[in-house]
Amino acid sequence: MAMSIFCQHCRKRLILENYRINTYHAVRMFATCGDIVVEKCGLVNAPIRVQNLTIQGKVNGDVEARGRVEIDGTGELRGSIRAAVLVVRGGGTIQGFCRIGVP
Amino acid sequence: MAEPQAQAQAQAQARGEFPTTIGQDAVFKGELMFEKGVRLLGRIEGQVRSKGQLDIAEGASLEGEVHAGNIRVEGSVKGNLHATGKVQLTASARLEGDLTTTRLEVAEGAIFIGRCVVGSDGAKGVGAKPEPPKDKAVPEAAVKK
Repeated sequence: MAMSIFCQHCRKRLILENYRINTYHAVRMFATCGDIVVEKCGLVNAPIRVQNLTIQGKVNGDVEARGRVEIDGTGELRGSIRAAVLVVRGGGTIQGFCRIGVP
Repeated sequence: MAEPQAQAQAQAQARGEFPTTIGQDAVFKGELMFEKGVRLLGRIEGQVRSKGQLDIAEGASLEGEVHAGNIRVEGSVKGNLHATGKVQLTASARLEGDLTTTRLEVAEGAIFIGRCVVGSDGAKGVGAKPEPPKDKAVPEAAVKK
């Protein structure tokens, strides 16, 4: 299965992989066309651009998801959220500007 | 799917959880304060303050600031929501404004645009009284004579 492809229009490299984060992760931009799961022990300090995002740990950064953002009971998100669907389970923490369901 | 919800709401009404109902053709303008639950089927323009539950039914609309215990939104809200308990946005909900609460449940299909503070920080924000400014006492030793 391909891990990345090149956009046929702009020739930009697009990552297709799914990621599971269970450690500290700090980058300038965390972008993928796949899904990201931030596990309980995971801590991400970066803006995230993703298809679907599940947060069980901590994320400090703006999130832009084409699909679904799920924040579990142990999850914590500090940053703005832009997604089609947001699911926050009891105990989850969010702090930031939200834009949900608006294309 | 709608029938079990309608039955649950009818049962809640019978139990007295929503002693106050604002009808479908009613428009309320001003400040509304209540102790127990309110079910909104019509329209409210103004402030809502309560320790109880506020239920905004599908097709209902609210414009203004809300301070309540638990809030369930199935209709349209333009304004800020502050809840000490839980906020539920169902699939037909549309919220434009800021949200401060301890627990949040957003169903698939809900529309939400605004700032959001959920969790223990949300509990601090609701009903918190601003701290009075503390006078900085300069220790005598620091004062140069």
